[in-house]
Amino acid sequence: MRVVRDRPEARWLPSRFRFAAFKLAAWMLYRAAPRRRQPGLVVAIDRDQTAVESYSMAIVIVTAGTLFAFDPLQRYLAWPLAATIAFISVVIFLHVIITFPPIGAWQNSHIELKSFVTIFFLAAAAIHFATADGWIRYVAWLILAAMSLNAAAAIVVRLAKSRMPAGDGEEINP
Amino acid sequence: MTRWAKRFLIRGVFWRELLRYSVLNCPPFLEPVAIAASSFVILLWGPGRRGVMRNLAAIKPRSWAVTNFLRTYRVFWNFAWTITDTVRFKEFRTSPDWEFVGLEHWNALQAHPGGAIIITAHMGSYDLGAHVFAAVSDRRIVMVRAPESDPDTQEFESRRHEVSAADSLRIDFNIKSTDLAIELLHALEAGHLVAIQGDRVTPGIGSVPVDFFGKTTAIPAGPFALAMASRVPIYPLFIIRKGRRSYALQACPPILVERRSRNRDEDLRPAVQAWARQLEEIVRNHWQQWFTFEAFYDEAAA
Repeated sequence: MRVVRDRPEARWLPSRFRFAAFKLAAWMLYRAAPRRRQPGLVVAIDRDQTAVESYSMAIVIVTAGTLFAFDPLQRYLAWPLAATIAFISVVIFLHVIITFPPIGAWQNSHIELKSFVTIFFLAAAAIHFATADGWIRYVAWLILAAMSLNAAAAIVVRLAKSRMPAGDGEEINP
Repeated sequence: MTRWAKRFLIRGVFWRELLRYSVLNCPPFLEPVAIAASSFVILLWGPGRRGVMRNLAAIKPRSWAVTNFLRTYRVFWNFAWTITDTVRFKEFRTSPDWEFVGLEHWNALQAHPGGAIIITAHMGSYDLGAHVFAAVSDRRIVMVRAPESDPDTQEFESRRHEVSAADSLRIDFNIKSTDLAIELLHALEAGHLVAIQGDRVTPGIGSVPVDFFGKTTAIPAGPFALAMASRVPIYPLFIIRKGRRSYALQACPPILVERRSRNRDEDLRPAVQAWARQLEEIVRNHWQQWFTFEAFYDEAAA
């Protein structure tokens, strides 16, 4: 486990983010952050460390999923009931993805597989609703635009990898 | 109730295994969803919910029950995140961000020649704090834990501790208080640090009554008696969750226990009260992280 001590700007190191769009934004913030010393601060370098990325992605996935589920339901149900059912259904579906027995030894980690499955379903839903009538297609286009933006950011990150701060720090062995 | 059915009680091993499985399978960007849902499920645990609400009624007097109900959800939300961070650390060695507050007391603890006692509360992640302490300090630490009430859960936790504990960290369960006291005394005499939680009395453990948020409650006397016997200082240390994978380790001025008379209980009382005041201040400011799920006072006596 790598950590950086006493440097608050290290919170914006790109290596603390998973998605390329967030990495790029973090790189800009890291370059602009003032360099100061904060004794007693220990910043861990892990690609899933930051709250802003985790919460942002969770909100986007749950909101988009709820809207995708809401659109067909609201044609048959009053909107408050349709919204409630849509939200609960999405939360249950996400939990099914998390808990569904993985292929292979159940004692191992399958986070990457579950991540892929989640994004796959989100993309599939967005593609399906992109050609739908009504407001839902704008939601779908937003999701697809965000995915495209991330893909473009991934190319930039790959090209600029040598210029990005690599999370220099010290190794600890907890 | 059969042993198999007991697995599904609130302290049963099923929920520990489910937590471990979830940590191994939940994508990081879905953690907030899983934690929110889990916190809601914990809220359905009646005794725990009622215990927290009673405590909040004392910590925040004159607050409405519905407000305390929402605060209880927030307590369970923090609890869910904390135990998840602990399990993730044990499985993946993923460390959170740390901030050392009260650095001068932390440095004094590190530099103190000889043994010392670290006293803390059921706040943040006791396990995580001990592991990180062991990683960033060259002091050997002995962590005292209360045993799990369910034997299967105890066996599960013991196995996980064996797998994950660092060489400089030893974990002892306070099953037999006299045997443990002797072992801890030896550890202190050898210059090690002993970490004990001092905000909950387990059956069979001696205690001292103190005033806490205007109620009478019991504080375990063990850490203070141990400090008196071994003549070491007690350092209050709190692990406070600041956000997702972010904790503050707050060190406070040391408490000294001095033998002045033949009356041991009277000699312990000033130190116990100093600890109670420190604990009260921390809990008042961080009530959303005090993971005490039983009422800390007797309502009939209060």
